[in-house]
Amino acid sequence: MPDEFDVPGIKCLNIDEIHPEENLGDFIFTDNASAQTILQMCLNKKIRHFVQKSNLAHAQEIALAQKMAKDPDKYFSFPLSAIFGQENPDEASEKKLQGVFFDINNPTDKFNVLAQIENYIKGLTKASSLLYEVLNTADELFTNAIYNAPYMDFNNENPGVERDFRNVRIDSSKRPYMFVGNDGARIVLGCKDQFGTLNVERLLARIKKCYDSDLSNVINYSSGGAGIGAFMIFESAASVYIGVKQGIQTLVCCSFAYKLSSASRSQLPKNLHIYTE
Amino acid sequence: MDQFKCVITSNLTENIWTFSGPLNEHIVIPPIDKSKPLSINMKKITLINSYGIRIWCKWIQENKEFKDLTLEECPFVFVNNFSKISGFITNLITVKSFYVPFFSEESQERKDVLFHLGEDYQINGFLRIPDIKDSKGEYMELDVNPIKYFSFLKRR
Repeated sequence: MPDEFDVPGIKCLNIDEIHPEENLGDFIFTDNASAQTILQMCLNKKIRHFVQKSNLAHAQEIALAQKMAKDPDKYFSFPLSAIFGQENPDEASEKKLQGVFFDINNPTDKFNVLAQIENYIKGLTKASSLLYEVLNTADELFTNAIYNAPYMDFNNENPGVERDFRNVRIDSSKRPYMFVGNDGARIVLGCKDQFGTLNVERLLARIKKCYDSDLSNVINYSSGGAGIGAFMIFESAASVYIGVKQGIQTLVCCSFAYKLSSASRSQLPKNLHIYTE
Repeated sequence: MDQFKCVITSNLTENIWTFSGPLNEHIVIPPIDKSKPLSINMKKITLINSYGIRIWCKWIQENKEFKDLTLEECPFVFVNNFSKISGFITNLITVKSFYVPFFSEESQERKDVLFHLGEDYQINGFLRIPDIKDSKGEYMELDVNPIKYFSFLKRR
Protein backbone atom coordinates (compact mmCIF):
# COMPACT_ATOMS: atom_id res chain seq x y z
CA MET A 1 0.00 0.00 0.00
CA PRO A 2 1.37 3.46 -0.81
CA ASP A 3 2.13 5.26 2.45
CA GLU A 4 1.04 8.72 1.33
CA PHE A 5 -2.00 10.25 -0.25
CA ASP A 6 -1.15 12.92 -2.80
CA VAL A 7 -2.30 15.41 -0.21
CA PRO A 8 0.56 16.94 1.79
CA GLY A 9 0.76 15.75 5.36
CA ILE A 10 -1.75 12.93 4.98
CA LYS A 11 -0.37 9.48 5.69
CA CYS A 12 -2.06 6.32 4.50
CA LEU A 13 -2.35 3.95 7.48
CA ASN A 14 -2.22 0.21 7.04
CA ILE A 15 -5.40 -0.90 8.76
CA ASP A 16 -3.92 -4.29 9.71
CA GLU A 17 -1.10 -2.65 11.66
CA ILE A 18 -3.27 -0.50 13.88
CA HIS A 19 -2.98 -1.56 17.51
CA PRO A 20 -6.40 -2.28 19.06
CA GLU A 21 -5.67 0.14 21.91
CA GLU A 22 -4.33 2.90 19.69
CA ASN A 23 -6.19 6.19 19.87
CA LEU A 24 -6.70 7.31 16.31
CA GLY A 25 -8.74 10.44 16.88
CA ASP A 26 -11.59 11.20 14.50
CA PHE A 27 -9.88 10.45 11.19
CA ILE A 28 -8.56 7.39 9.40
CA PHE A 29 -6.88 7.67 6.02
CA THR A 30 -6.26 4.20 4.69
CA ASP A 31 -7.02 1.86 1.81
CA ASN A 32 -8.81 -1.38 1.00
CA ALA A 33 -10.62 -1.64 4.33
CA SER A 34 -13.81 -3.66 4.05
CA ALA A 35 -17.26 -2.32 4.85
CA GLN A 36 -17.31 -4.41 8.04
CA THR A 37 -13.96 -2.98 9.17
CA ILE A 38 -15.15 0.57 8.60
CA LEU A 39 -18.32 -0.02 10.59
CA GLN A 40 -16.49 -1.78 13.37
CA MET A 41 -13.91 0.99 13.73
CA CYS A 42 -16.54 3.72 13.61
CA LEU A 43 -18.51 1.91 16.29
CA ASN A 44 -15.66 0.80 18.55
CA LYS A 45 -13.11 3.57 18.07
CA LYS A 46 -15.56 6.37 17.34
CA ILE A 47 -13.85 7.22 14.05
CA ARG A 48 -15.86 9.99 12.34
CA HIS A 49 -14.13 10.17 8.96
CA PHE A 50 -12.93 7.10 7.13
CA VAL A 51 -11.28 8.00 3.81
CA GLN A 52 -9.74 5.41 1.49
CA LYS A 53 -7.14 6.09 -1.16
CA SER A 54 -8.61 3.88 -3.88
CA ASN A 55 -12.02 5.50 -3.62
CA LEU A 56 -12.66 8.40 -5.99
CA ALA A 57 -11.57 11.99 -5.42
CA HIS A 58 -9.70 11.33 -2.20
CA ALA A 59 -8.28 14.88 -2.05
CA GLN A 60 -11.84 16.25 -1.96
CA GLU A 61 -12.84 13.57 0.53
CA ILE A 62 -10.00 14.55 2.87
CA ALA A 63 -10.92 18.21 2.49
CA LEU A 64 -14.54 17.37 3.25
CA ALA A 65 -13.53 15.44 6.38
CA GLN A 66 -11.64 18.48 7.61
CA LYS A 67 -14.50 20.81 6.65
CA MET A 68 -17.14 18.69 8.39
CA ALA A 69 -15.05 18.65 11.55
CA LYS A 70 -14.16 22.36 11.60
CA ASP A 71 -17.10 24.04 9.88
CA PRO A 72 -19.97 21.55 9.76
CA ASP A 73 -22.51 24.19 8.73
CA LYS A 74 -20.88 24.28 5.30
CA TYR A 75 -21.87 20.64 4.90
CA PHE A 76 -25.37 21.18 6.24
CA SER A 77 -26.01 24.32 4.17
CA PHE A 78 -24.15 23.53 0.94
CA PRO A 79 -23.68 19.76 0.81
CA LEU A 80 -22.95 19.36 -2.90
CA SER A 81 -20.36 22.14 -2.87
CA ALA A 82 -18.75 20.72 0.26
CA ILE A 83 -18.61 17.16 -1.07
CA PHE A 84 -17.41 18.19 -4.52
CA GLY A 85 -14.53 20.10 -2.97
CA GLN A 86 -15.44 23.75 -3.46
CA GLU A 87 -13.08 25.79 -1.34
CA ASN A 88 -15.76 28.19 -0.13
CA PRO A 89 -19.13 26.54 -0.48
CA ASP A 90 -21.94 29.06 -0.80
CA GLU A 91 -25.38 29.41 -2.28
CA ALA A 92 -24.10 30.22 -5.76
CA SER A 93 -21.78 27.20 -5.92
CA GLU A 94 -24.53 24.98 -4.54
CA LYS A 95 -27.07 26.10 -7.15
CA LYS A 96 -24.58 25.49 -9.92
CA LEU A 97 -24.09 21.88 -8.82
CA GLN A 98 -27.75 21.01 -8.22
CA GLY A 99 -29.11 18.82 -11.00
CA VAL A 100 -32.56 18.32 -9.51
CA PHE A 101 -33.98 19.19 -6.11
CA PHE A 102 -37.32 18.85 -4.35
CA ASP A 103 -39.12 20.08 -1.29
CA ILE A 104 -41.32 17.15 -0.34
CA ASN A 105 -44.86 18.28 0.39
CA ASN A 106 -46.70 15.01 0.30
CA PRO A 107 -45.83 11.32 0.71
CA THR A 108 -47.14 10.68 -2.81
CA ASP A 109 -44.42 13.00 -4.17
CA LYS A 110 -42.25 9.90 -4.10
CA PHE A 111 -43.31 8.82 -7.58
CA ASN A 112 -42.49 12.21 -9.07
CA VAL A 113 -39.19 12.51 -7.18
CA LEU A 114 -38.03 9.08 -8.36
CA ALA A 115 -39.13 9.79 -11.93
CA GLN A 116 -37.17 13.04 -12.03
CA ILE A 117 -34.08 11.45 -10.52
CA GLU A 118 -34.39 8.65 -13.08
CA ASN A 119 -34.45 11.16 -15.95
CA TYR A 120 -31.47 13.00 -14.50
CA ILE A 121 -29.40 9.83 -14.10
CA LYS A 122 -30.34 8.58 -17.57
CA GLY A 123 -28.92 11.81 -18.94
CA LEU A 124 -25.57 11.01 -17.33
CA THR A 125 -25.13 7.27 -17.74
CA LYS A 126 -26.66 4.29 -19.46
CA ALA A 127 -25.42 1.82 -16.85
CA SER A 128 -28.61 0.15 -15.68
CA SER A 129 -27.05 -1.23 -12.51
CA LEU A 130 -26.09 2.26 -11.37
CA LEU A 131 -29.49 3.72 -12.21
CA TYR A 132 -31.17 1.11 -9.99
CA GLU A 133 -28.68 1.66 -7.17
CA VAL A 134 -29.28 5.42 -7.18
CA LEU A 135 -33.06 5.03 -7.43
CA ASN A 136 -33.17 2.45 -4.67
CA THR A 137 -31.10 4.73 -2.46
CA ALA A 138 -33.41 7.66 -3.24
CA ASP A 139 -36.41 5.50 -2.39
CA GLU A 140 -34.89 4.47 0.95
CA LEU A 141 -33.87 8.03 1.88
CA PHE A 142 -37.32 9.33 0.99
CA THR A 143 -38.99 6.56 2.99
CA ASN A 144 -36.81 7.26 6.00
CA ALA A 145 -37.52 11.00 5.84
CA ILE A 146 -41.30 10.61 5.88
CA TYR A 147 -41.96 7.38 7.81
CA ASN A 148 -39.10 7.36 10.34
CA ALA A 149 -37.57 10.76 11.05
CA PRO A 150 -40.72 12.54 12.31
CA TYR A 151 -41.80 9.63 14.53
CA MET A 152 -38.54 8.45 16.11
CA ASP A 153 -37.14 9.22 19.52
CA PHE A 154 -33.37 9.77 19.78
CA ASN A 155 -32.75 6.14 20.66
CA ASN A 156 -34.45 4.95 17.46
CA GLU A 157 -35.96 2.03 19.32
CA ASN A 158 -39.18 1.88 17.32
CA PRO A 159 -39.13 1.01 13.62
CA GLY A 160 -41.17 4.03 12.42
CA VAL A 161 -44.81 4.07 11.37
CA GLU A 162 -46.44 1.56 9.04
CA ARG A 163 -45.53 2.19 5.42
CA ASP A 164 -48.81 3.64 4.18
CA PHE A 165 -49.27 7.15 2.77
CA ARG A 166 -52.37 7.55 4.93
CA ASN A 167 -50.33 7.22 8.13
CA VAL A 168 -48.19 10.27 7.54
CA ARG A 169 -48.69 13.98 7.22
CA ILE A 170 -45.90 16.35 6.30
CA ASP A 171 -45.70 19.50 8.41
CA SER A 172 -45.24 22.35 5.91
CA SER A 173 -42.65 23.97 8.17
CA LYS A 174 -40.61 20.76 8.33
CA ARG A 175 -40.60 19.52 4.76
CA PRO A 176 -37.86 17.06 3.82
CA TYR A 177 -35.60 18.14 0.99
CA MET A 178 -33.90 15.93 -1.61
CA PHE A 179 -31.32 16.81 -4.22
CA VAL A 180 -28.96 15.29 -6.77
CA GLY A 181 -25.87 16.69 -8.48
CA ASN A 182 -22.71 15.53 -10.22
CA ASP A 183 -19.13 16.67 -10.77
CA GLY A 184 -18.34 14.69 -13.90
CA ALA A 185 -17.22 11.57 -12.03
CA ARG A 186 -19.50 11.28 -9.02
CA ILE A 187 -23.23 11.55 -8.57
CA VAL A 188 -24.26 12.77 -5.13
CA LEU A 189 -27.75 12.19 -3.84
CA GLY A 190 -28.90 13.67 -0.56
CA CYS A 191 -31.89 13.99 1.72
CA LYS A 192 -32.38 16.42 4.58
CA ASP A 193 -35.07 16.27 7.24
CA GLN A 194 -35.87 18.83 9.93
CA PHE A 195 -36.07 16.43 12.88
CA GLY A 196 -32.52 15.30 13.67
CA THR A 197 -33.68 12.04 15.20
CA LEU A 198 -31.25 9.67 13.51
CA ASN A 199 -29.17 7.72 16.04
CA VAL A 200 -25.94 7.15 14.14
CA GLU A 201 -24.47 4.51 16.45
CA ARG A 202 -27.62 2.46 16.22
CA LEU A 203 -27.71 2.87 12.45
CA LEU A 204 -24.11 1.68 12.06
CA ALA A 205 -24.75 -1.28 14.35
CA ARG A 206 -27.80 -2.20 12.28
CA ILE A 207 -25.84 -2.04 9.01
CA LYS A 208 -23.04 -4.10 10.54
CA LYS A 209 -25.53 -6.71 11.66
CA CYS A 210 -26.70 -7.00 8.04
CA TYR A 211 -23.12 -7.68 6.91
CA ASP A 212 -22.48 -10.14 9.72
CA SER A 213 -25.69 -12.17 9.34
CA ASP A 214 -27.84 -13.69 6.63
CA LEU A 215 -30.02 -10.77 5.52
CA SER A 216 -33.13 -12.91 5.58
CA ASN A 217 -32.66 -13.24 9.36
CA VAL A 218 -32.33 -9.49 9.84
CA ILE A 219 -35.50 -8.44 8.02
CA ASN A 220 -38.09 -7.05 10.40
CA TYR A 221 -41.48 -8.70 9.71
CA SER A 222 -43.38 -6.87 12.44
CA SER A 223 -44.63 -3.28 12.31
CA GLY A 224 -42.61 -0.45 10.75
CA GLY A 225 -39.85 -0.77 8.15
CA ALA A 226 -38.00 -3.84 6.93
CA GLY A 227 -34.81 -2.77 8.74
CA ILE A 228 -32.46 -3.37 5.80
CA GLY A 229 -32.80 -0.04 4.00
CA ALA A 230 -29.72 1.51 5.58
CA PHE A 231 -27.69 -1.55 4.61
CA MET A 232 -28.91 -1.29 1.02
CA ILE A 233 -27.84 2.36 0.93
CA PHE A 234 -24.41 1.64 2.42
CA GLU A 235 -23.87 -1.31 0.10
CA SER A 236 -24.72 0.70 -3.03
CA ALA A 237 -22.87 3.94 -2.37
CA ALA A 238 -19.14 4.60 -2.80
CA SER A 239 -19.21 7.14 0.03
CA VAL A 240 -21.78 7.91 2.69
CA TYR A 241 -21.99 11.24 4.53
CA ILE A 242 -24.11 11.45 7.67
CA GLY A 243 -24.76 14.68 9.53
CA VAL A 244 -27.08 14.94 12.52
CA LYS A 245 -27.89 17.99 14.62
CA GLN A 246 -29.99 16.37 17.27
CA GLY A 247 -33.55 17.65 17.28
CA ILE A 248 -32.80 20.03 14.41
CA GLN A 249 -31.87 18.22 11.22
CA THR A 250 -30.43 15.10 9.64
CA LEU A 251 -28.62 15.25 6.31
CA VAL A 252 -27.57 12.00 4.64
CA CYS A 253 -25.76 12.08 1.30
CA CYS A 254 -24.36 9.27 -0.83
CA SER A 255 -21.97 9.39 -3.74
CA PHE A 256 -21.80 7.01 -6.68
CA ALA A 257 -19.03 6.57 -9.23
CA TYR A 258 -21.01 6.86 -12.42
CA LYS A 259 -18.43 6.26 -15.10
CA LEU A 260 -17.34 2.87 -13.83
CA SER A 261 -18.85 -0.54 -14.50
CA SER A 262 -20.63 -2.30 -11.68
CA ALA A 263 -17.71 -4.68 -11.23
CA SER A 264 -15.30 -1.73 -10.87
CA ARG A 265 -17.67 0.03 -8.50
CA SER A 266 -17.98 -3.03 -6.30
CA GLN A 267 -14.17 -3.03 -5.87
CA LEU A 268 -14.06 0.53 -4.54
CA PRO A 269 -13.35 0.65 -0.81
CA LYS A 270 -15.94 2.84 0.88
CA ASN A 271 -15.63 6.19 2.60
CA LEU A 272 -17.76 7.14 5.57
CA HIS A 273 -18.15 10.60 7.10
CA ILE A 274 -20.07 11.26 10.29
CA TYR A 275 -20.87 14.47 12.11
CA THR A 276 -23.15 14.63 15.15
CA GLU A 277 -23.94 17.34 17.69
CA MET B 1 -42.68 6.30 -12.20
CA ASP B 2 -45.54 3.80 -12.57
CA GLN B 3 -47.16 1.94 -9.73
CA PHE B 4 -47.04 -1.83 -9.30
CA LYS B 5 -49.43 -3.95 -11.37
CA CYS B 6 -50.01 -7.68 -11.55
CA VAL B 7 -51.87 -8.76 -14.69
CA ILE B 8 -53.31 -12.26 -14.36
CA THR B 9 -54.04 -14.51 -17.34
CA SER B 10 -54.17 -18.25 -17.81
CA ASN B 11 -54.19 -20.93 -20.47
CA LEU B 12 -54.96 -24.63 -20.36
CA THR B 13 -51.70 -25.57 -18.74
CA GLU B 14 -50.65 -22.68 -16.50
CA ASN B 15 -51.49 -19.42 -14.80
CA ILE B 16 -49.45 -16.46 -15.96
CA TRP B 17 -48.83 -13.33 -13.93
CA THR B 18 -47.10 -10.30 -15.39
CA PHE B 19 -45.60 -7.90 -12.86
CA SER B 20 -44.77 -4.32 -13.70
CA GLY B 21 -43.62 -1.24 -11.77
CA PRO B 22 -41.82 -1.05 -8.44
CA LEU B 23 -42.00 -3.72 -5.72
CA ASN B 24 -42.43 -1.50 -2.68
CA GLU B 25 -44.57 -0.93 0.41
CA HIS B 26 -47.73 -0.48 -1.67
CA ILE B 27 -47.82 -3.85 -3.39
CA VAL B 28 -50.16 -6.74 -2.75
CA ILE B 29 -49.10 -10.06 -4.26
CA PRO B 30 -52.16 -12.21 -4.96
CA PRO B 31 -52.62 -15.70 -3.49
CA ILE B 32 -51.59 -18.58 -5.76
CA ASP B 33 -54.19 -20.79 -7.45
CA LYS B 34 -52.34 -24.03 -6.76
CA SER B 35 -54.40 -26.11 -9.21
CA LYS B 36 -52.02 -25.16 -12.05
CA PRO B 37 -48.36 -24.23 -12.44
CA LEU B 38 -47.66 -20.51 -12.12
CA SER B 39 -45.32 -18.51 -14.32
CA ILE B 40 -44.46 -14.94 -13.31
CA ASN B 41 -42.97 -12.60 -15.89
CA MET B 42 -40.77 -10.05 -14.10
CA LYS B 43 -39.47 -8.10 -17.08
CA LYS B 44 -41.17 -4.83 -16.21
CA ILE B 45 -40.22 -4.70 -12.53
CA THR B 46 -38.48 -1.37 -12.16
CA LEU B 47 -37.29 -1.24 -8.54
CA ILE B 48 -37.33 -3.24 -5.31
CA ASN B 49 -36.95 -1.34 -2.07
CA SER B 50 -36.37 -2.87 1.37
CA TYR B 51 -40.07 -3.13 2.10
CA GLY B 52 -40.70 -4.75 -1.30
CA ILE B 53 -38.03 -7.30 -0.41
CA ARG B 54 -39.82 -7.99 2.86
CA ILE B 55 -43.20 -8.50 1.12
CA TRP B 56 -41.66 -10.73 -1.55
CA CYS B 57 -39.75 -12.87 1.00
CA LYS B 58 -42.89 -13.25 3.12
CA TRP B 59 -44.90 -14.33 0.08
CA ILE B 60 -42.20 -16.83 -0.92
CA GLN B 61 -42.14 -18.18 2.63
CA GLU B 62 -45.91 -18.59 2.66
CA ASN B 63 -45.76 -20.53 -0.61
CA LYS B 64 -42.56 -22.47 -0.01
CA GLU B 65 -44.26 -25.86 -0.60
CA PHE B 66 -45.53 -24.88 -4.04
CA LYS B 67 -43.36 -26.70 -6.58
CA ASP B 68 -44.60 -25.28 -9.86
CA LEU B 69 -43.43 -21.69 -9.74
CA THR B 70 -41.40 -20.36 -12.66
CA LEU B 71 -39.86 -16.90 -12.95
CA GLU B 72 -39.23 -15.47 -16.40
CA GLU B 73 -37.25 -12.51 -17.74
CA CYS B 74 -36.02 -11.50 -14.29
CA PRO B 75 -34.37 -8.06 -14.53
CA PHE B 76 -31.16 -6.98 -12.83
CA VAL B 77 -33.02 -5.36 -9.92
CA PHE B 78 -34.59 -8.68 -9.10
CA VAL B 79 -31.65 -11.05 -9.72
CA ASN B 80 -29.38 -8.77 -7.71
CA ASN B 81 -31.21 -9.88 -4.58
CA PHE B 82 -30.83 -13.63 -5.25
CA SER B 83 -27.29 -13.66 -3.89
CA LYS B 84 -27.90 -11.17 -1.09
CA ILE B 85 -30.91 -12.75 0.60
CA SER B 86 -31.18 -16.49 1.10
CA GLY B 87 -34.99 -16.48 1.34
CA PHE B 88 -35.50 -14.47 -1.83
CA ILE B 89 -35.90 -17.61 -3.96
CA THR B 90 -36.08 -21.26 -2.99
CA ASN B 91 -34.77 -24.39 -4.64
CA LEU B 92 -38.28 -25.22 -5.80
CA ILE B 93 -38.49 -22.10 -7.99
CA THR B 94 -37.29 -22.37 -11.57
CA VAL B 95 -35.64 -19.29 -13.03
CA LYS B 96 -36.40 -19.80 -16.71
CA SER B 97 -34.67 -16.65 -17.95
CA PHE B 98 -32.96 -13.58 -16.53
CA TYR B 99 -31.28 -10.43 -17.77
CA VAL B 100 -27.57 -9.80 -17.56
CA PRO B 101 -26.43 -6.20 -18.06
CA PHE B 102 -23.35 -5.45 -20.17
CA PHE B 103 -21.64 -2.06 -20.20
CA SER B 104 -18.82 -0.32 -21.99
CA GLU B 105 -16.97 2.29 -19.93
CA GLU B 106 -15.43 3.52 -23.19
CA SER B 107 -18.63 4.16 -25.15
CA GLN B 108 -20.91 4.33 -22.08
CA GLU B 109 -23.27 1.96 -23.93
CA ARG B 110 -25.35 -0.65 -22.14
CA LYS B 111 -27.13 -3.81 -23.23
CA ASP B 112 -29.36 -6.09 -21.19
CA VAL B 113 -28.95 -9.62 -22.53
CA LEU B 114 -31.55 -12.29 -21.76
CA PHE B 115 -30.03 -15.59 -20.60
CA HIS B 116 -32.20 -18.69 -21.13
CA LEU B 117 -32.24 -21.85 -19.02
CA GLY B 118 -30.91 -24.77 -21.05
CA GLU B 119 -29.11 -22.53 -23.52
CA ASP B 120 -27.01 -20.03 -21.58
CA TYR B 121 -27.08 -21.67 -18.18
CA GLN B 122 -28.12 -24.84 -16.36
CA ILE B 123 -29.64 -25.25 -12.93
CA ASN B 124 -26.46 -27.06 -11.82
CA GLY B 125 -24.41 -23.88 -12.26
CA PHE B 126 -23.11 -24.23 -15.84
CA LEU B 127 -22.95 -20.78 -17.41
CA ARG B 128 -21.93 -19.61 -20.89
CA ILE B 129 -21.29 -15.88 -21.12
CA PRO B 130 -21.56 -14.67 -24.72
CA ASP B 131 -19.34 -12.07 -26.33
CA ILE B 132 -21.33 -8.86 -26.51
CA LYS B 133 -20.18 -5.92 -28.62
CA ASP B 134 -21.19 -2.27 -28.59
CA SER B 135 -22.25 -0.24 -31.64
CA LYS B 136 -18.59 0.26 -32.60
CA GLY B 137 -17.87 -3.46 -32.51
CA GLU B 138 -15.92 -3.27 -29.24
CA TYR B 139 -16.39 -5.92 -26.57
CA MET B 140 -18.56 -4.92 -23.65
CA GLU B 141 -17.97 -6.07 -20.09
CA LEU B 142 -20.41 -7.55 -17.63
CA ASP B 143 -22.03 -4.77 -15.64
CA VAL B 144 -22.29 -6.99 -12.59
CA ASN B 145 -19.94 -8.68 -10.21
CA PRO B 146 -20.15 -12.20 -11.73
CA ILE B 147 -19.24 -14.02 -8.51
CA LYS B 148 -22.18 -12.45 -6.71
CA TYR B 149 -24.66 -12.12 -9.55
CA PHE B 150 -24.52 -15.73 -10.77
CA SER B 151 -24.02 -17.30 -7.35
CA PHE B 152 -27.68 -18.35 -7.17
CA LEU B 153 -27.01 -20.90 -9.91
CA LYS B 154 -24.46 -22.77 -7.81
CA ARG B 155 -26.55 -22.63 -4.68
CA ARG B 156 -29.35 -24.56 -6.32
